[in-house]
Amino acid sequence: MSLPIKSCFAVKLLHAPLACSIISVAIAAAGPVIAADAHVPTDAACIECHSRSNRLVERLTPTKASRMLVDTTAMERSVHGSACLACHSNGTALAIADHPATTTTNCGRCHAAQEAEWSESIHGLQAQAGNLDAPRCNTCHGAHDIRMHDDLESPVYRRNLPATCATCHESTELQSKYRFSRNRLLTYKNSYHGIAVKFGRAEAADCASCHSAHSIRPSSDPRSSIHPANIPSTCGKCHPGAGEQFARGGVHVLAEKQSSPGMFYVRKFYTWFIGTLMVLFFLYIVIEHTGSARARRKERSREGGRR
Amino acid sequence: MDSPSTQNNVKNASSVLRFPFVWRIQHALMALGVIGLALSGLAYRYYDTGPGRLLMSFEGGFGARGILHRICAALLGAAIVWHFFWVVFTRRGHDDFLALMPEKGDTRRWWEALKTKLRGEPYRADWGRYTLGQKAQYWIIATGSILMALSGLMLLLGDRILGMMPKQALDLIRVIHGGEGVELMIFIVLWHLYSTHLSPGRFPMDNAWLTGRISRERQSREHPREVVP
Repeated sequence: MSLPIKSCFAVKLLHAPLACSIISVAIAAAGPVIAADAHVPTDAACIECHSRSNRLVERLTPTKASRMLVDTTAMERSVHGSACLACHSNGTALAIADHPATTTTNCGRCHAAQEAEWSESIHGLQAQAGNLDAPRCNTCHGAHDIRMHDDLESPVYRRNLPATCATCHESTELQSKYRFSRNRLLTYKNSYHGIAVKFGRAEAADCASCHSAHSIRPSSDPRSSIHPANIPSTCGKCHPGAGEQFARGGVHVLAEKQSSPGMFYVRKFYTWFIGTLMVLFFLYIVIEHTGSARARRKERSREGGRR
Repeated sequence: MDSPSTQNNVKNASSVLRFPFVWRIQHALMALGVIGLALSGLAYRYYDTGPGRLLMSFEGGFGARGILHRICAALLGAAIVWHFFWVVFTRRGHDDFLALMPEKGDTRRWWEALKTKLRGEPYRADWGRYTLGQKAQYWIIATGSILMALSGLMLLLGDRILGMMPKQALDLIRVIHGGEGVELMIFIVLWHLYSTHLSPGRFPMDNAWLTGRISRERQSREHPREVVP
């Protein structure tokens, strides 16, 4: 997982309060595209440099340009609007806040409860331990194009959530690295929950319904919503009848010989049975029609003979 | 075996009543239910394919598809219950049911009929009211429908029965419901509809399921042991 912007020395220097005025004076002298008061920490000043209206971007390599540019249209559409400083500032001066260690802190300034939940989740614990693969707020919610969770285009909208989670959980590289259980997306998509969510049913369960949105913990953790002891209560949120008995059996089930032999053999039986039936039916149809054609030919030749 | 349908056939001297009115209504109810169940079931099973999506939108979306599936299940359920009471409590239904029982000589007659067809000779076998193929169709569709109804009921009452069984059982029921559904559909389309529409001499359709009547000539050719002298 790569970060959108690296907190390299040059970038830190460019945004440092002291360096800012010196650099901005120098840039202002270079041309009218840079506002004279670019050192003033305002959202408009950020946009002015980081949007395509900054003609200096044309001189950068595509990689550098993509790191520097911000999709301002997406920002305007986002729930936060063009509020750069709300996230990219520590409140007193400009600072690069894209480093993993600071990103969530900045989100947490407004979303404290979610941050607290996340920081105790498996994702949060790993991120705080310095694991750059662990998802942070922007991994799931996006960076500049953050939408409300009920916005159809939000990556955490119910219908989009499975694909968002699958970005990491169905990644072959991460599956091998962290021994993720496989086929989570496939089994979900083929379940009643997955199909119902795909077709927009509001009451059907998505990933977060069972795994929770921010307090995601492994099933081995007794506090996890998917710990075997908690399955009845988790399923019971929607299915009041689900009891301890129901917890016996996996949720993301594939019809495999090892994990679910019953499903495996029943499916095998129907595959073979239906296949054999079809072959026999076609054979029967061929026999009946060729026999009938031969009978008609014989009948005609007998009639011809009589004449 | 003498059939009740061979009695009281004074309406038309050249034809006999093979399927009474009650039988035809039960059959129509069942056909309506099965067609609706198959279409709404296929839309769910193959939701991720072009034809599946087309069926789903044709049925009014996911929610409407579910309602249609349940309404058709109720129709099929009504047909099953009605047929059960018809068989148990009426003389005609009881006799018709007994005529559907496999009997000694069925397999021999079937083998003779097959050999006749293979030799290209006119079809003639001493069947009673029902041929072995027709008996097999009845029993496969009847047992399949009951299995579908029971498994469907368990899926429908999922919330109420979740506490009584492990989730593996629910997964198994889901596989059985889907597999049996496809099997029944293939069976009905490839055999039952074939024998009604495309079997030699039947095209475009054997009207017996609508009128209830077949010609005396056909009865003596296809069901000679049913003919009342």
